[in-house]
Amino acid sequence: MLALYLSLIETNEDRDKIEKIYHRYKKLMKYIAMQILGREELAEDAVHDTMVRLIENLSSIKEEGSKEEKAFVAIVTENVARDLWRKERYRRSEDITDYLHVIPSRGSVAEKVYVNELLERICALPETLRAPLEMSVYLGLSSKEIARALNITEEAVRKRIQRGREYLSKEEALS
Amino acid sequence: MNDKKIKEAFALYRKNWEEDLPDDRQLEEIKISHELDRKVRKLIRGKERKIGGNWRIMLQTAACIAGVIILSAAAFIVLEKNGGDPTNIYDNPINSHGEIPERPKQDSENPLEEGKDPDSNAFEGEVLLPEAVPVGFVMTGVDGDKAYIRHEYQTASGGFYLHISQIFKDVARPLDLQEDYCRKVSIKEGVEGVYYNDGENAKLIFEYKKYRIHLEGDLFLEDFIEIAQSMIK
Repeated sequence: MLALYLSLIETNEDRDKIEKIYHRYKKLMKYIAMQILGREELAEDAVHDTMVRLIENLSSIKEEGSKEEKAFVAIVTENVARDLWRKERYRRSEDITDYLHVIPSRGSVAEKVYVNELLERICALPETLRAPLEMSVYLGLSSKEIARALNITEEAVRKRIQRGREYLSKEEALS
Repeated sequence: MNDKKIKEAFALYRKNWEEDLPDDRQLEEIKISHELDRKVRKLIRGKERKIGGNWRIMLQTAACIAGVIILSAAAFIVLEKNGGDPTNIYDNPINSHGEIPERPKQDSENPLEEGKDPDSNAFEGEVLLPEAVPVGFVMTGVDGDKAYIRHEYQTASGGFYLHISQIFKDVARPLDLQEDYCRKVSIKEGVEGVYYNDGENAKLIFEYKKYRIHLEGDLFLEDFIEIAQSMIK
């Protein structure tokens, strides 16, 4: 396989920015990836792939060191780690139950005392719906930016946001 | 359900998520391999992109390489026909300017003393050499009006060159600070340096006592600063 090294980052300002992000969050990224993948080497692959994704979406990261930046990095890491987990599961053809203990239940945060009903619903949201909705409403990103960050189509982003909203409005989501 | 409410709920969700995270001390204990650091560094300074599936680009690359080989072979044959060893420009009767080049003098003075022990008292103990593993060449000596040492080191994070030169009062220059790709960084209280990163190479240059220390290599800024700090008493 022929490999070329091409510069993906245009300016030195961006290079500095991404270097800082890596140093600030590399351990957090690995922690999140470990929670999902449970294996050191896979978690490091996920951190690497997350960095590729972050470089491609650098313009979506606005305020340095902010809560929003941290949330963005966390969402992308989770998304990348879950993609990797799915790929790995099919590649190894292993029984899914081997991994179940390491996948955080979507209700892990929900185990805390809920401040209000809506939060409870958010915790119950499937990951595929929660991430686009959070990126849209909480981080204020456009469908295009979310699509790029989550590696899905814009159409899928719009649909998932809509379904996420519907899910939050449903009474039965709480049951 | 309005967005303001959802946003507030997400803010709470993130707050709870943060509380579930391990604290800073526990996060600090998570180990990141040097291999990952190296891969990310490569990614930041020049991304690896696999193009195995793109036959058109592969064929173009192969055609370029073949073209260079054919041209080199043709040039070699032409030179050989003109007489002399084509690999030795001094055996060729005529160079590209139409002149016969002069051989360099064999006994020319070389001011460098290669292989000298870098731990010699060259810097009067004012600058400490890094604790990293020295590899490659060592040169100490005098270049014009500057005493210097140049050494290649290897750390677990990557390789770097160290170049220390003594600043003589009459040749002291201010450190260059070109806005585009460099910035000032603090190494220790009272010691500032200039960090250059043009995308290909990263360097940290700083002055300490009467020396200018130049670190260059495949390292992150924080690695450079750590090395620089270890060299200052």
